[in-house]
Amino acid sequence: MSGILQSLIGGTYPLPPPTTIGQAYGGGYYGGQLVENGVTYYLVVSPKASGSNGGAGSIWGPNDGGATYAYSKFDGLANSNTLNSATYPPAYYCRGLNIGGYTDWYLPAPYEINTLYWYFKPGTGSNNTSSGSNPNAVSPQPVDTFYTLSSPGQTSITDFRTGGTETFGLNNYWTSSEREGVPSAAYAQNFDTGLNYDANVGASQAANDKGSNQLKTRAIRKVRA
Amino acid sequence: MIYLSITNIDAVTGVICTAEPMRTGPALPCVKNFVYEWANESKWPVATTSTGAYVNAPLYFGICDDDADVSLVGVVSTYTSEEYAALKTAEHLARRPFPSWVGNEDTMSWEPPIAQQN
Repeated sequence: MSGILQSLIGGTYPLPPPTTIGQAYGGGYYGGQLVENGVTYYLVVSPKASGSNGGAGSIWGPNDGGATYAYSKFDGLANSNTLNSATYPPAYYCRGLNIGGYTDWYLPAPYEINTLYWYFKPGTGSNNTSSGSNPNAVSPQPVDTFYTLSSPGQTSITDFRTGGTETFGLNNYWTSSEREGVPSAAYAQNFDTGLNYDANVGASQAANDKGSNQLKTRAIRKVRA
Repeated sequence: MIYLSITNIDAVTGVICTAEPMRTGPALPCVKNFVYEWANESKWPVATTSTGAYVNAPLYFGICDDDADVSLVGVVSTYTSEEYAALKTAEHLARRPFPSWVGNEDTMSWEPPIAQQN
């Protein structure tokens, strides 16, 4: 049934597929595709004004030695549902959002936010060449391939470049994935070099000498293609 | 040159973000030669209503041409240069992480103080 006909007789109908990275879509901005368990999804980046914690950031959760079992590298929604309590501020923040009438926002998994770096890299610096391998990527993003020093380059989308209205900035962002077997660590994504790394969960600023446990959060959602 | 602030509108319907949820996604009004300079990020994240509309409009400050149409939906206000400078200073100060940090209003950034060597 066409979307037009369905809208005439009532009910909801699917959004037309997005065609351009960064276009307004699904309450935010289209941020590329990812394959999860054989299903292709469109990623939607939240508007920075309402889907990002604009302050100093927050810890991921308590470092109490217990495992959360939020281990998926590609399914941030499943991870975030596991972490959906005030104990885990970034995931809880995302799952509580209602932006544009959508309530399925969540904290991205490592491969999801990796795709966002690929398309929305804010700056012009060199990439970390030991990061970026993404088995769930969809062309034109290369699959299972490390970044090169110059690829990806700075995004062509002005609003997402450094200084733009929607930019990630040269910041570190939490993912929703705990490091399996190391419950004191969760994965993070740097938006300066693309470095994917695990940061100590809940470690004190003094113990974590760069204070990098206080990271930023940017919510996303996904739409089945 | 006009100093002004604008806010988000729905990319398809053009309805301002505080009136209805931006189901399509956000856009900014097409103000002639608008140049974005800074936003009131110290007040973000913006809260939303139970329907997903914004409670308060996020403000994007900048300049545009003298003959730009500032009556468009999404244009919030225009300012004198003095008013604009005062708002920018206030936003910069609102972002200061600690009292001892050193600010740069041009880049709207703050850096930790550098200890002097003995």
